Amino acid sequence: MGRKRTIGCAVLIFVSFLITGCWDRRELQDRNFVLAVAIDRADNSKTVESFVKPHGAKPYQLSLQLLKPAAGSDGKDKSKTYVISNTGDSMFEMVRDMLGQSSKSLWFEHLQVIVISESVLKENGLGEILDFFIRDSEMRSRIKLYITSGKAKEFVEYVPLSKGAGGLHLAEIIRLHTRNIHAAGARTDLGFTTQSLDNNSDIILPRIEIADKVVKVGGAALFNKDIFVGYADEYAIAGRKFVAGTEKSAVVTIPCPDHLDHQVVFELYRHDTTLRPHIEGENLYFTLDINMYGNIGELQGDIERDNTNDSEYIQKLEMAFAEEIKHTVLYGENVFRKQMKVDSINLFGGKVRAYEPDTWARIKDQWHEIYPSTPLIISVNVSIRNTGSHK
Amino acid sequence: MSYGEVTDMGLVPNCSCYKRLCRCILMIIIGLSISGCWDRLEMEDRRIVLAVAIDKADQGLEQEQRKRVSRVETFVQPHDSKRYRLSFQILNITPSKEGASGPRGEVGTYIVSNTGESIVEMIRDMLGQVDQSIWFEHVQTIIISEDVVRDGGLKPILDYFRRDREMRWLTKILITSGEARPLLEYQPPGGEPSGMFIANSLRLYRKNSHVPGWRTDVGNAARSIDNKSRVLMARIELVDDVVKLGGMGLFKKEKFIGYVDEYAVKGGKFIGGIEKSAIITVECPDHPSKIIAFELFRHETELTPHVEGENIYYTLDITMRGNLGEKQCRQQHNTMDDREIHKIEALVAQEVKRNIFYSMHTYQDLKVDASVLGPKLKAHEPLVWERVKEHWDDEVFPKVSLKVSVNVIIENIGGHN
Repeated sequence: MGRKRTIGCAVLIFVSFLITGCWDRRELQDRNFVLAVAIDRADNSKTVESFVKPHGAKPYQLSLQLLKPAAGSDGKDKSKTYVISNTGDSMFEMVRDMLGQSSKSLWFEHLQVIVISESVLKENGLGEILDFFIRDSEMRSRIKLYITSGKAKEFVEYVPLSKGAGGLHLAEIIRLHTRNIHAAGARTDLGFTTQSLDNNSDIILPRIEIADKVVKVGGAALFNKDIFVGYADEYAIAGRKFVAGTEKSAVVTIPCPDHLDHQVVFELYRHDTTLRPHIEGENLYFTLDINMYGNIGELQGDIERDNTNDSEYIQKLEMAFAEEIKHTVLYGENVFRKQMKVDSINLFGGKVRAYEPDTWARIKDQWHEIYPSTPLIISVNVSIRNTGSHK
Repeated sequence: MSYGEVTDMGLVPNCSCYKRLCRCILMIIIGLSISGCWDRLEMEDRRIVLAVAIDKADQGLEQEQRKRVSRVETFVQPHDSKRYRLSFQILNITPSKEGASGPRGEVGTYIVSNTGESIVEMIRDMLGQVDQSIWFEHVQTIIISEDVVRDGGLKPILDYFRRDREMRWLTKILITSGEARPLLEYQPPGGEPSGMFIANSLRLYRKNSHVPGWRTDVGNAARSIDNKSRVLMARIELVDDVVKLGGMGLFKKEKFIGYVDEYAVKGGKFIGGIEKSAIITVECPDHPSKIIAFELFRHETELTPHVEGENIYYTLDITMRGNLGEKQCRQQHNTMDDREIHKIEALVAQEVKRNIFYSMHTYQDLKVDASVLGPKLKAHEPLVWERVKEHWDDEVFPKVSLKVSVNVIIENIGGHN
């Protein structure tokens, strides 16, 4: 009995050592939170931010935006973040070497945004730049990606006017993409980009620009597979979003059909968009049916003259809006299809695969040649439900 | 309580009363002597030194303003010249300001310096610049300028720090090629004083294979000087507003020999098996300029000396386990294929070998055994060590050969193929 009891006690003590659960804890104050990452082409100006390595070039400059612990207690105008950078050829090696510039280990689980400069993309594919972020276990799939034509480091150094942390601010901008028709935000984060890279499909990433203290998201960078080909402007993005049906709300402006001197605005709030491939013999073509419902959002003219209670006038407006949307779609298609030859996020190819799997199996290898010349038949129907809280 | 007893002879004191009195007096004396606070020094009466910088006395005196300040800082010294400039980073704790939200006070630092020949004399003269006594038990970092050790060696500087009992042996020592004092003035963006910043950054040596972290503190330096062996110091540089640790400075006995770069430090850590994690990068043979990175997280390293007559050689067996950390030619290789993985393993093993030989040759050219080859020989072959230890660094170590065999195992490929 006594012996059993002793053994029981010993086991209990031993087990309690094993299940304390905190042997590898790392306290908050011992971590350096990385909020944003910028990737530029190295210009070798500051050699101290690097390390000696006898082989390999140093093409990249990696900059990390780190959160200041307990900032804001003194002086409201101080930044909440600071930046460290390094140059090298492997992202992982640079990150580890940056421990020589930091007093705490770097923690990537709250990384919000990665900004990549166009100068890097001209010589390196997107896949090789992002591989570390895709492979490492600390990175989340919902990290936002941006492309800029200027220097990416400026974005991690940027302090928002609200004095919040810059990385969070940048990530929040693109979250509004469902209501901002000019921003390409659907399926453009790290997880979806990884999917596109794996499937060898074309990629679209939102574009961000900075001038002085103004940061603006609009337009997009287009990739043929993972090779950067060029930018699409805001109007082309709007057209593309109408085709993909990824907008939740949009604003469409036209000059008033009766009196061209003022603008009428349609506020879209619901839509029904169907993109479908059709095959007739050897011919492949797409039909796009868009039904849109919304309000009149703004009518700058004289409401005595342009009477919104007149159903004939409303019908005229609906026709004009439909025409404008068709025009937007065609403009976008011209940019994506004819100029850049990019089928971003495999929009059209994916439809063929879903509806006509046999055909897709036959043509998928030549899809890049077929896609620019496939016809698209567009029909748009707009119905105006309300005129707002005034006639 | 007992009282005197009434006897025939009248009221007389009892001897137990005398005893009691003695006891009382004893209690009082003991009580006075064990109060324990006779030599107390309150927090606010101390000036806590966080970091020490040692420069040459005439360094950084280009400006007229600095010269004037320097003249005031110092004292008259009838013999010898002023060799060193000693600077202290002192912690400045002020209570939070009136009206400021939150209980947090500001933690700042300020710097005092002095020039002279003897370290302890300078410290005592500095009491003329501070309002409370200077307290060294929390010194985090000692930064030495290269010019000082080039001229005078390490011994005269370090002597006070290993002799005084307020100094801790785990204080980090670093070397910089420029002036050391600006590193104390540097304000890290994270908000902590630079003395703590630098010491904490050096503590990350297990993950950052570019800084030496083994045996780079005061205690080890003191012991190495006594044993007439090498001293290692992490190198720190300040350019504009960027502070960076990387590489190390090497001392033979106590003379400064030179710097070695990050790559040699990494190889030295591989030889000694002191790394806990490391990133090993190789260029993909099929896609030049595309990098494959291996993340080491476990290794078994065995360094064994062998003696054959007069010939001493070492065998180094390394087994490394880790993950694939980065593969920039990502689409082209199928990481699910064992043959591809084996190919990468072989490449990484080759790179580790190359790295080890690079640092071995660096150390042999400098004639300093910066890794652990000497101590290994001492442990395994004490008799041979006795014979060679006098001329180990100069004659024997540069000629020893190292036979390296590296085995790399990639266990995982990360969160994506």
